[in-house]
Amino acid sequence: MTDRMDTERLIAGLSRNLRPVRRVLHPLLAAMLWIVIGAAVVAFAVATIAEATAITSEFRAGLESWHLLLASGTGVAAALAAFELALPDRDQRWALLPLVPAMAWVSLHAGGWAKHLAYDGLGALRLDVSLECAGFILGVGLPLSVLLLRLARHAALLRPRAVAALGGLAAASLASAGLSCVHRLYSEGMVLAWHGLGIGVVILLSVWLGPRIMTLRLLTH
Amino acid sequence: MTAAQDGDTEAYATLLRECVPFVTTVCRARLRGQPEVEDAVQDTLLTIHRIRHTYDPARPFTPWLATIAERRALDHGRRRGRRAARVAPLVDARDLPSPSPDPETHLAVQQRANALREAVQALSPAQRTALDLAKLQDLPLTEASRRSGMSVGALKVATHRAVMALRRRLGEQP
Repeated sequence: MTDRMDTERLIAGLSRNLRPVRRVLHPLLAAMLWIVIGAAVVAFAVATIAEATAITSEFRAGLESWHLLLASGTGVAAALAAFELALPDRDQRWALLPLVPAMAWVSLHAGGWAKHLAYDGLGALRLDVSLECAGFILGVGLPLSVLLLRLARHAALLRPRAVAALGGLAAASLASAGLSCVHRLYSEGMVLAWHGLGIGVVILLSVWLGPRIMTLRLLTH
Repeated sequence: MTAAQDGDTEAYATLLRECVPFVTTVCRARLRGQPEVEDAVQDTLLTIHRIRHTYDPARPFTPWLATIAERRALDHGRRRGRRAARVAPLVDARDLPSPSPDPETHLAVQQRANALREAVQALSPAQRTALDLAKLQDLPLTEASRRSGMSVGALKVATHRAVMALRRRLGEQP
């Protein structure tokens, strides 16, 4: 009976100072908003590191175009999945949405690298250091991930880690897509290593810091 | 819920009261013991309050509510598991010396426990929640803040006020 009274008092307390709230954006709209901002940020970052002529000359119809298509597809799918999963009544299987484009993207480079390995032998295992690849993905991906996590901050009380992981994947994928416009993907092994490293770090940092980033506004209330 | 999102306090209170039996059923399926179930129910109500803006009136309410209740019940279950892992096994009661049979001491202890219980009941819901999360469950402030929906600052103030109020009520000097 005393416990029941507790709940009654809690309900009275919660409803006493109730304020109207603005509903969150529909996940599709939120994802579109983030993608538009993300594309603008990536375009700005690309423009600052390359001349327009360099962009067209570096960009080829083969590997880079497939990389651009699949990385963008993974980013878009992961962003939509993150915003869907941030809501309580959405199916957890939304988390699988980016799986197909992500697997196709990894397969593109893994397949190319396997061919390279068969053709070149151990030469395919030699990786040039390409810190600028990982640096670009980190520099562009992390702010975009923070933006996504802030837009989906209501997930903090529900599925913070899953949403943060998807947010990190979405941001890093868009950054990787942008990078392929200015940075020739010389070999699949190098792409797998340095893009993979950059994307992995963005996802790990997002998962690690995501719940704190999401609750930042709650802490300032 | 739509009316509650627009700020209708009466509709909100009615809704929360109507949610309690359903939430209790969900929590009871995952937790043992009435106090733990009650804690999870109250935690669920706090979460509903914090994220009431995520409800979409075009969609059914029950799945929205059920997910929140299940998450809070799971959290409480996990916390119980962690606590259990930290607790040392009990010594067989038969090996212990018999407790003091002194009825006066027993009565004094009981009276003090009753006084403490009443003092805790007299706290405001926010102070009780803060005391429970920050002191009894000993959660880190950020986690307690996340669960209660209060800011870290508000949580510290509520905890401090709760302790001061308890001391005042129990006749101890702060």
